[in-house]
Amino acid sequence: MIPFPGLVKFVVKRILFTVGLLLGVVAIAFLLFRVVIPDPARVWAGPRASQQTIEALTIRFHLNAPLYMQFYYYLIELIHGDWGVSPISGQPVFQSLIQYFPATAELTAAALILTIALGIPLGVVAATHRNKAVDHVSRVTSLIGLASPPFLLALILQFVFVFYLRIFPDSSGRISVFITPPPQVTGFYTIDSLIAGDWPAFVSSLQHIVLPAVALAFLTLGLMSRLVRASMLEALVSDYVRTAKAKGLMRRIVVYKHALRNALTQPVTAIAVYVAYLLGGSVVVENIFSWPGIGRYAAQAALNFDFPAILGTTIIFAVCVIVMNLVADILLCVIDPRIRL
Amino acid sequence: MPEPVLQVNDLTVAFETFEGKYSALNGVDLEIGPSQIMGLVGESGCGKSSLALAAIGLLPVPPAKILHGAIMFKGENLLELTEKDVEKVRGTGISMVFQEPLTSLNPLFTIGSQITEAIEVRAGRENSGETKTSAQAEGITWLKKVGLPDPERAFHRYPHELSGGMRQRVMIAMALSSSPTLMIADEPTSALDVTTQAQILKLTRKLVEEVKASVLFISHDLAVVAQIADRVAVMYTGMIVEEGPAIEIFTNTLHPYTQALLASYPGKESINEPLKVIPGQVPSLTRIPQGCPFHPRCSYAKEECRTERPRLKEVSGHRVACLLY
Amino acid sequence: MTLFQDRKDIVLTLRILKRDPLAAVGAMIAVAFCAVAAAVVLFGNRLVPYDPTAINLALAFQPPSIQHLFGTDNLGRDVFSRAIIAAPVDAEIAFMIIGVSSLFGLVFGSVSGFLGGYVDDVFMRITDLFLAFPSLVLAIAVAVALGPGVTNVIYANIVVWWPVYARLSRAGALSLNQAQYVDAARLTGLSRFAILLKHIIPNNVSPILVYGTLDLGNAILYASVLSYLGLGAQPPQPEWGRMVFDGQIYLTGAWWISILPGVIILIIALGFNLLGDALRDVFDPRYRK
Repeated sequence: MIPFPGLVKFVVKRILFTVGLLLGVVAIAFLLFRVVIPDPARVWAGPRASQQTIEALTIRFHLNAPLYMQFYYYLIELIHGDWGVSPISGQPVFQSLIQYFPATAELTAAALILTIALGIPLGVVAATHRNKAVDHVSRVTSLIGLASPPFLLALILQFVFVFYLRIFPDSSGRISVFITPPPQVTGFYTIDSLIAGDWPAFVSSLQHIVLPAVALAFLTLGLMSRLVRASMLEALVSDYVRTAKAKGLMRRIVVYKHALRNALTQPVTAIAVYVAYLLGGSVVVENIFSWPGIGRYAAQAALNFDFPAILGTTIIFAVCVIVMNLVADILLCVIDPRIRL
Repeated sequence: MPEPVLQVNDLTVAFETFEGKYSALNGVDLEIGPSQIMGLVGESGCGKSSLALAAIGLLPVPPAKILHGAIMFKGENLLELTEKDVEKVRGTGISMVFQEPLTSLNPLFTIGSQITEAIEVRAGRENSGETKTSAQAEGITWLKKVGLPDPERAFHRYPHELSGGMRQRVMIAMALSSSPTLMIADEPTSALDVTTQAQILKLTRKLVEEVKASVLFISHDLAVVAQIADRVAVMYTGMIVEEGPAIEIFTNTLHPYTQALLASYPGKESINEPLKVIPGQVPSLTRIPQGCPFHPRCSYAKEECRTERPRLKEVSGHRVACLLY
Repeated sequence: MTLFQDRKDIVLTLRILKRDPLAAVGAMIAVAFCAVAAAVVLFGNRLVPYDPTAINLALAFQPPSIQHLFGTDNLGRDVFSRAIIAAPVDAEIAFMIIGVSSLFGLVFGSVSGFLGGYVDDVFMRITDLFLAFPSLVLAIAVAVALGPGVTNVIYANIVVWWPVYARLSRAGALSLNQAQYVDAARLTGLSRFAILLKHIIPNNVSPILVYGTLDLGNAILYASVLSYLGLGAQPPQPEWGRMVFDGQIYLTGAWWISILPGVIILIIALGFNLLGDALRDVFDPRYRK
């Protein structure tokens, strides 16, 4: 098919750009945290460090060397997975991040699925039933979602569903303590238990992921539905929709084939931004639900002034967001032929 | 006299806007016969597009309100049909070509898929058992008929890959492939350069004869209409002021407005003379003058022109709305 | 597009506030919040019914009632009084964040957009790099690096907030570059620096101001999350986010300790969002039609 050469060139260009972006992000982190911050060795050593530890760190991070040498060592360390050691846990940061990554990935994916699966239909209905009850309810819900601090809904959900209604008997962790987690294939308990055919594990892990995913997705769901609504309204009054109607097409086809397809171009680009919001929110939500992911690791790091841990989190989250941006761009290129040129 | 394909009776439509009541159509009377090309001429803001949209049921009805009148098509008043029934008229009964071909085509779909859509609508209504492949073949045939170079490849192209002239040809192909009884073309050549314009007009004339469709060809440009129309109707502030066979309108012009319009076109004789302008300005449709709407700018205006509104009258072969007759 | 250029804008704003009840509610909430914060700064503990730091274990865990509107916490302190006293902390943090970020972003972006070319490219690359980080996490990282305290929270958030204002100002400067009166100013021989100061920057102020009002709500949200994680004001100074964290463990037995301060944050943020939305409708030329 004709579009493929353009698509390949586009993807290659975007990947190169992404690599450049990653380098730049890493450089900013370096400047901010080794140059701008006063006394970086003390910060790295943690709040309860002795003078010896601080001096040892000063030597280790070459803090007395010229800047370009520091940056060089910094890059080498990053690439080799030497992201420092957490003064609180004593564990190397990189290993901890790898360990906790699947849990956060699963939770973020679940929240993203909720955002898309509920947000898009809600936005479409709000647009096609403009100014009716559904539209108003959707607007109010997203207004509240936008203004909610991430801990509020998480706590309310816990209180109502776990303690009050007892629908989800225990909310902490990814799976009931009485059930063994399924053997690791993807790292996602839900998928892995399906693969292993372990039904009780699947049910339990699903039960555990629902509340934190809902709490996390509240914000992005509101954003998505408003965005889809606005895009749909714009598409519905466009010239090409007018032509589609003039051709005698059924209203259903006009709305879902012509209008919706065009309206989805903006939400696809927005997904990368939403992932950034979800990762930020996970710091609070994972902590409240004792979800063993990077978010909780970061929350504990903040509470204990564990700088290496939080820096590692920042870098890995930035990498995730940048990769998601790339994915969204490629998706957009597939959907919108105008971009391929 | 054969039964008219489209008959507009005293159509009056107004828009509620912040600035007041915008009287888009004020008692429009128009008839289009079978296999006839009716040219509708008028300056911008005279209501031509509103008439076109009303005929195909695409007037945005909350701001617009149909105050009076009927649009008869195949024995039914289109204005009284439900949305579902109007849907069935569109495409195979009445189809439309719009002015701006770039925005009027869906940028995300190939032009081939958009043409087969129109063909499949017709096939579905005729129950002709058309398959995907035969629809595709027919689409390519139509692209060839409208003069697209390399129709097989063009079929798989996207709208932004074609030039303005080619896109407009696609629009015409889409409009005619559903075998409509009436095709409405709203300023189809206004966005094109003069050479392409001439080609499109010639093409349209040929294809329309082939398909045996009637055309309502709307334009602000008299010269364009002269090249294609069998009959011409002149519109001013939402009313038809003169209507008749094209030759009659151009050689035996009756209405002062039409005369002034024709006179304002520079001819070979007037090279060294200043351009003739119609004095005054086209009135805003929120404040149409009483009586004959043209009287403030008319050099023949009489006392009664200020109070009495002229209606269309048969005069020497065509109809005119002027108190002079 | 200067701020409140003529009486028409003021009248239009008031008309929108009157017509759109939500906007009016938002305005009232925003005004009430500022008023309360100011009142606390002026009058201190005399403003509230109970001493926010007074520990009285006998009164611990009282549910909300007429005497204690928000109940009491684990140490017997009146939650309502503590919430009131906490108001100016987040107010200060939010206004400082938005104020400094918007000022810096205004100048940075206006210079970038106005000068164009190489400078613009470099400035915008830097802005993009900052925007590539998930902002909440970056703010937390900087705050951890700087240490506890309100001032550090403000610095940390400024790092994250300025790029958006830079982008906005740059867009404004780009369009102003095309404006006729800027060309006229150039023709009269005005130096580039003077044009920047007299025309570009002042005309960028009103869109920044509108966006800033909307953003105040977000600033309060970020400040509350950072204080929830122990990074803001330290005890005994009450702060809403902190109160939520401290009250979490008692969620089952005494939900009001953590939930109610969270609801306050929600209401304040909502108020600024509604107000900002309405202001945007006034100033966005498209909406005016």
